[in-house]
Amino acid sequence: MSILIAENLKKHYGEGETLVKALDDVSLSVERGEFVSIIGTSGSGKSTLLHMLGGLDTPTSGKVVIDDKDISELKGDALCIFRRRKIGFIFQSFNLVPSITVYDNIVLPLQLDGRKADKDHIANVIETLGIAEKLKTLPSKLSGGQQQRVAIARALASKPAIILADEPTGNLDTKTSMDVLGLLKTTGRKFEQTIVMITHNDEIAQMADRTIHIEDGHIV
Amino acid sequence: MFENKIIERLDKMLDSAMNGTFVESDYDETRLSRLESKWKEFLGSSVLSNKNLEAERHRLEQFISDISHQTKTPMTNIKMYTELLCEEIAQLKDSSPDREKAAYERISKYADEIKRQDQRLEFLIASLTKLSRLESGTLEVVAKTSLLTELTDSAIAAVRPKADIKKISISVTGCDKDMTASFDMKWTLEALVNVLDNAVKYSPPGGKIEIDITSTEMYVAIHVCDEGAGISEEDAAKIFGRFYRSNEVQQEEGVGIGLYLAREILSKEDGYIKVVTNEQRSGGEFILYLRK
Amino acid sequence: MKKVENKKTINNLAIMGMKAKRNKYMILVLAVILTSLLFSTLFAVGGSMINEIQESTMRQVGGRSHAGFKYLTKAEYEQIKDDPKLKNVSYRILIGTGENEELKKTYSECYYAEDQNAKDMFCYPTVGKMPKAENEVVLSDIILDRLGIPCELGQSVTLELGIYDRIIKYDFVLSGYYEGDPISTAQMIFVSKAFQEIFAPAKTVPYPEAERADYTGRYSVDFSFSNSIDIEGKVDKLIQRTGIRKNVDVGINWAYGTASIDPAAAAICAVLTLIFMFAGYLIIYNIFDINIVSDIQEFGLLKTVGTTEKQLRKIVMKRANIIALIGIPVGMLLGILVAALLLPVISNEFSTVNVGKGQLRLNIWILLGAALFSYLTVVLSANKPCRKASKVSPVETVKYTQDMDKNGKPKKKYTVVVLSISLALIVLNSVYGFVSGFSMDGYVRNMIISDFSIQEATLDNPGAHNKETEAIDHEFIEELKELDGVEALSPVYYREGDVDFDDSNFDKVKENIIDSGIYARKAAAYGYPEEEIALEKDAFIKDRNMSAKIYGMGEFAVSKLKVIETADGSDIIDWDKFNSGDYVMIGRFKDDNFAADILSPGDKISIRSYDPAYMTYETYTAPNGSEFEIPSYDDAPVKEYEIFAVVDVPLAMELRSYRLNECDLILSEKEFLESNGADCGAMRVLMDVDDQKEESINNWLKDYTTTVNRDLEYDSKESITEEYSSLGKMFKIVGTVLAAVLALIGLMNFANTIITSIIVRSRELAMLEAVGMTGKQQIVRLVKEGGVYFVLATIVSIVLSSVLSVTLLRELTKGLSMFEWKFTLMPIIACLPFIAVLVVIIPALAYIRLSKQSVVDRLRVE
Repeated sequence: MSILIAENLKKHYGEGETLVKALDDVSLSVERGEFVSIIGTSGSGKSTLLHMLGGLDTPTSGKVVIDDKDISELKGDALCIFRRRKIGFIFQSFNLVPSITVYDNIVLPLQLDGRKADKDHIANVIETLGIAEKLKTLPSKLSGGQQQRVAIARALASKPAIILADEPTGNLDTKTSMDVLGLLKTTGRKFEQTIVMITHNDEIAQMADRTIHIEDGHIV
Repeated sequence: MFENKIIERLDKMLDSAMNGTFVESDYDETRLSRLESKWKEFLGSSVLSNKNLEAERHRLEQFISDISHQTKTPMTNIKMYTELLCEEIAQLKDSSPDREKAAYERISKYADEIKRQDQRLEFLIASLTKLSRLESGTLEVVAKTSLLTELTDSAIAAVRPKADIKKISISVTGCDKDMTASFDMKWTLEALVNVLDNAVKYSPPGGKIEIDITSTEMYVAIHVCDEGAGISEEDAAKIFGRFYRSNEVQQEEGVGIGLYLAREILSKEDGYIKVVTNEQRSGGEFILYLRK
Repeated sequence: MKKVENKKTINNLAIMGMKAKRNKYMILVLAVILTSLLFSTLFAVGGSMINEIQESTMRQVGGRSHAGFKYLTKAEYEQIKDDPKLKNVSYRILIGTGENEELKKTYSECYYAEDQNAKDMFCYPTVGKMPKAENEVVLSDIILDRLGIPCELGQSVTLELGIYDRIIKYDFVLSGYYEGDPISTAQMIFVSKAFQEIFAPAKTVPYPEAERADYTGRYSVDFSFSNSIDIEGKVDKLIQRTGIRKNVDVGINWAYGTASIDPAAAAICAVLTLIFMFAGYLIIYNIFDINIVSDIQEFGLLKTVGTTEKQLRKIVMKRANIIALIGIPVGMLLGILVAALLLPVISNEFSTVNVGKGQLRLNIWILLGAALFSYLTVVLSANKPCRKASKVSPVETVKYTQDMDKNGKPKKKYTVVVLSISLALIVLNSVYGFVSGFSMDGYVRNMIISDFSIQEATLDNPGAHNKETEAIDHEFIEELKELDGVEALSPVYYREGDVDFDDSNFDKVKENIIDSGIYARKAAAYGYPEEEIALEKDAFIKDRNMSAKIYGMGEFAVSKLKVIETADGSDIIDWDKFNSGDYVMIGRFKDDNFAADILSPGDKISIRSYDPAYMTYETYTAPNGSEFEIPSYDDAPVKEYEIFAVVDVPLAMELRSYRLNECDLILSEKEFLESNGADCGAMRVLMDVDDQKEESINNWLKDYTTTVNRDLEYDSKESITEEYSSLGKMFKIVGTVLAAVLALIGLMNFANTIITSIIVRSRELAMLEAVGMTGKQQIVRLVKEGGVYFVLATIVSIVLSSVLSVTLLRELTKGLSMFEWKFTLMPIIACLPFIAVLVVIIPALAYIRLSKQSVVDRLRVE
């Protein structure tokens, strides 16, 4: 059963001679529980693809279906709410809210949704990610690896349909990268999460169950 | 107001359904009550299908277990008769004229091949049994803080005979005496032995196998490096698959299940295994990550 | 639909975000404090002034109660006293009037009054207590002064009281006294209940049924309602509700109806409110915007993880609310403090109150108003940044650090910062232009036209009524004439009368003032509604008659008149010819901003004598049937005069009380006394003295008016000059405070913008440094940027100030005689060097602070 389906996605910028095809007719599907990496060089369109998949950007044509819902039908706040319920994001630059504590960051998408946190689940996530002792600190006090672990915890906390990771180790050294990737991989498996990760690094891509190569806006 | 109550009730219904504790609150003429009954019915049928699934899995496990058990006697017999065959041929070979020696030689080779294939079959059945028990949860992987030296020492001891045959040396670096990680000793040993076994298999005779232990914030990494051909980029994603054997190693012994088993074991204890491809280094390298 | 509950999370995000950037938000709080300070100062000063004026009106009226019923019996009093909608019901019982010879000029009434009633009439003893024993009395210090009795408790006071048709003489003991207000209509004499019961026992027959018009022994009941809106309507309802007789005498306290601030002051307040809102908006908006932009990544992130636009807006508005919650109370407290400091200065110049001048009078509405306007400014200012935060696109947040213009360069906040600095400069310039245009000569000439002017103490007090216009007797004038150093002296006499126009005159009058529309204009300026203007006009055309303010003047006073037109075409009055007795001078039909001739030189006009010797009483029947005796001069002789000249009587000479339908007539002193009786006292005396003797004469007058005749007061050019300087000082203080706060806002805005732009670009700057740009070069670069703001602010403020000066300011000063318009840019030019220095110092300091971090550190900053 596919949790994510992208059909004939196109994203074009500009027009005429300056037309840039960031994505040109990309189709892919991701099964439930799969860990898929999308690999490509910078400028290959992989970030654009991820933005489309996450509903952060709208495609020129084509559609994205997540958990049986065509997200191109959703607009504005509805899309926003869809995102917080169904998608967990992990970014290269961690993107934690700097002003609130680690714990508040983790449960933020839940709280925005007014849901009560599933305490056991969250405790489990926190334990698995080894950040139990950092819950009361502010993100800025943490190392990069720790921040990214918090970001993973945030993505997992709301049990989303899919986790999208955009170069999650781009800002980390090799050793820490392996930590974070390992955790991403093991937690994904443990909590039966579907993960789509983009990267430009073969070694990192190798961690995934499946690798999709993207070049010049096409899947190769 | 009224809406609030209904939403709250529905919320509770879902929560209890998720915990598996749902029961109808009351029976009356309200549509909410009817909804509850339907909900219970739905849960019941899905529980039933879950139970069916469970039973199916159990049957499968039983089946494999049966195969393993029932094949044991014929296998032992095959083994025994092959032994006898070998012995007798050896005797006959010695006492027979040269003209016939070549024929005995050939028969002896066939017998050896039968023996080898039998051993493989035995290993395969043993691995599959383990795997099925692991996957069905019959055998649990229980991770607890354990000493790494114990793990490496046991693993090296297990592969030592084979290594000695090929004159392969095995060294351990970077391991403090009291270094620990969180793992299941028995199963992790199995995984490490599988990886080491591979290394021995693919190492050239007289080669070196290095076990290097490093540590990150979250993991202890056991690097197993050999001087073999290594794994190509292409194969890297596939070698952990079930029964996968790369073209280059087809001629070598093995059933292609060891790495798969190792990966399953490690992931059961929140660790993972990865391979360093031969584009990144000469020789093969596997890294086993164990949670600290 | 039921919404999911996430208020707590939103609040948490809003509050934690602010805590994390405490310094930034503190600046915002400071901005709100300044804004709220401006508003609360304005409201507290304005409100206190209104209250002060209201209270002064109440003092004139003689009470703070909303309304009262007069001439009731005890039974009638009891009928209403327990009405649940009434507050502070209290009564007093009339006994009579003070009739001592010394009190002839000081109208006084004698009552028994409840404590509450005395308090409501501002007559509760400040020293001592209300009378208890029969022979105890409470008096005002004014009466005590008239009687020549020192203000000491226990003094024995002999009063002659007129009680209906008899006068009794009684020896009282002073049990208390209060500070009397010279402008109130009557001074109070309070006696005990016991005294009242003996000498003026309470009447039992309702007033309409009484045989004679005897008010003594009747209850005057004062009361208030919950609020002062539609008092009349409330009284009507009260009458119906309590069933008291329909024809009860009702007194409505008109202090509540008329206590509106005059339109000019209201306009000034409105303009200031707008300026404050604008200034507040500029800074709060700018800083808010800066904060939002610097937090934009955070907002984008929140959006990515699923915060909706509405929730983002809520977060920002929540922050605005928290800032308002901290800033407004602090600002209001400071503002009220400033107001308390400013009030004495301002009140001194504008108000007519004699007691409790310049006091801070706060009420809930003032506080609410100031808070509301401050809050409104915050909300308005936060609105745009709020939208910006909510509209942030999640994809762009990673790159987003600052607003970019079309070329992809950081957008500068020229408009907001330049306007903010300019506003301060413009206000400073305008205030200075206004104050410096305040002409000493103009003001003094307006207020006094001779070295000294002597008149009755309340004559020039616009709050006083029943002004005494014949207070200066001839002996005193002679005495003045004898003083050493008097160079010129002339009394100004005054009688009020009527002037009838004959047919040929009236045609001219009608053409001059009715047909020209001047009449309607003046009526409108006096606040007559449209339909009443028409009625007044018709009545005037029918009656062909105007009120006349008839003045008698000596040569010296005549020389001070402003000549508009004379018969012989000269602009000096030929005194000898005018003094011949056949001539009269006529004033113009005028208001502050316009004037028209009534008649021209050469026209003939008849003036009646208003000598009391000719006074008879005429019986007048009112529409309701009651009859009055009114004085009439119909039998007095009439004399025809030729109009000698058309003149304006300067403010310093005239009687400062005005009607729509009136005209000034000036006779020579001799002719005036001949016509109106030789013993008529003068209204004022104008005199010029030898400069050498000025001081001694001043001392003599001071002594005379404080010890010999306290009814008189005098103005000297010197005292008016002093008054001028205090008025000028007031303008300066208020203007400086205002400009200073605005300047602070402007500079804060500038500093914050510059510093933020430096911090935002710290990476860029570090990069430049890394490739070899020296710190000095960078500072120069930053200072240049500040310089652009400086140049723009200079241009904008000079242009706008100039435009404002030649338009609004010039127009404004036209209406005010003591202001002379003059064009100035002095304050702006004087301020420029300071601003220039700050423009250099602020970026330099900000950079130096920034450069304490190493280049590498700064490069690493995300």
